[in-house]
Amino acid sequence: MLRQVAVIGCGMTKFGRHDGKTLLEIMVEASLRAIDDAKIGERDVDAVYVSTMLSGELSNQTALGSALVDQLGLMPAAAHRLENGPASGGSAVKNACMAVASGFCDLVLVTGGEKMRHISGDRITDLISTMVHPTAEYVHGVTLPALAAMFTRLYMHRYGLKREHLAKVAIKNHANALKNPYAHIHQPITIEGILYAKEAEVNNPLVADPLRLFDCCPVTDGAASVVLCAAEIAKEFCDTPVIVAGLGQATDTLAVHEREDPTLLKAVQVASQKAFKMAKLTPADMDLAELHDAFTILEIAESEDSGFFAKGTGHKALEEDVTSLGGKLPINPSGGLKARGHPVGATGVAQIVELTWQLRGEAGGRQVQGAEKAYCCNFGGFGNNVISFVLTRRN
Amino acid sequence: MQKMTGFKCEKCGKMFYPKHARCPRCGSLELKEIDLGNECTLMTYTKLFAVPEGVEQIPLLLGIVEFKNGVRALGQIVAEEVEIGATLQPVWGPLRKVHGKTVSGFKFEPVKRKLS
Repeated sequence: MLRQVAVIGCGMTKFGRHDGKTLLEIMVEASLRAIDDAKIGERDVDAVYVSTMLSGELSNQTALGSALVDQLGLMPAAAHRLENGPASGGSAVKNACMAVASGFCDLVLVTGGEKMRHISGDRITDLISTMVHPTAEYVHGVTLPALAAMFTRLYMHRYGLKREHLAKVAIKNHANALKNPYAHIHQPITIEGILYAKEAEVNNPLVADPLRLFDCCPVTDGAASVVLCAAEIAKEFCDTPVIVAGLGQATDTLAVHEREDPTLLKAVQVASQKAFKMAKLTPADMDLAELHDAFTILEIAESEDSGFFAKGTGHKALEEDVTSLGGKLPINPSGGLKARGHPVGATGVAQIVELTWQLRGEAGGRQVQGAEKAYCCNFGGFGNNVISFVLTRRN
Repeated sequence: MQKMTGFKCEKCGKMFYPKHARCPRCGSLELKEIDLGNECTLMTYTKLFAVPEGVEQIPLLLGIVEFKNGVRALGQIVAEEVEIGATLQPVWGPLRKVHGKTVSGFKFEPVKRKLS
């Protein structure tokens, strides 16, 4: 990048259910926390990037960039609303980074949010499905869980992955979320309860065979926000700026069946390689990772295609607790999408928030001790648009 | 009977489904429609219980098939149970409702072998 970019502030609403508040109101709440955390005072913000996937359809409001600037009194700052499916948040952070790196802006605010819980299950499922291929997937009744399920079956067939591995991702991420006050789900689960017990069929029903309820992220309301600035001025605002050391983005075919190897997340591979190359670091240098586990299988597959483990061995690392808190590479200490929740437009921003807290040593009971370098991956569509970041602590 | 068709690039020979404005491999605009044939193999599938608005059938069986020329497609499977490797054939029929209107397309059903 032309000049380095730093994260100097972050904030979130609790993820969960926000009845009685509008999407704009929860975005304001997250933004105010980030602005307060960044201690920018009366300093002018040059631009605001808002990410949301379905604000028009679900919250009856569009052009949220203009609305947020107005609420926060940041006029005449430039403002945008950015929609890129589940990668909207990562896209907004990336574009904000580029605005700062190019010298076009010095200080920018990025806020992502979604309000989804007030809509019926079949309606929200349909609206989210509008991101898949219109004629080759959508009209056939395909949903994101259906694509994840077909991916999982092929994966199990090829690599010997068992349903117990999927359950372990859920159990681990639920346990991590218990230590995250912002997480949507605060519910410890056991393998007995979700797989083996008599009630498991009822408590953990099939959503898209072989994926069950506890393999899928919840439907969540929430917002997350970060303040970015040029690294050269970061020390004016905070003692512990976190540096955006690398970022990368890549796309893949819209229709999953067109991929040469449908179990390979090529866009994850390319985006992560670009991010590591820019950061002049390797996957082995990372102290933790936040991956886009909208489905349990995705944490395993992304841990391989991001370069942490060889293809087909991600579930072995999981088995050996390498990816648990206290392991060599904790994955999703926040609880991930699985348990922190997945307000679609907020997720990519929330990943940057978690990485920042971890790198500053402010992650409380889920703190990865001595974390200096961290990675995240925001996964759009079913892997057709992926944005990866490498963040580092500056001492 | 309506045939399920894919596309072939006249320049580099790449075959694919669905349609793209340009060849996904070489970028050529010279594309022709090709018959995908009436036999394909099931590569992976799911039984979908949480169906979207507009789909009435629960569970909905969905799968990815591969034709003999290597071209793949996704679609509904007209069967109660199915296994990876099953031989299927495309068949035209109603798929789901979109904005209240029924949309039709190709689904896949098991090939019934004639007894000799």
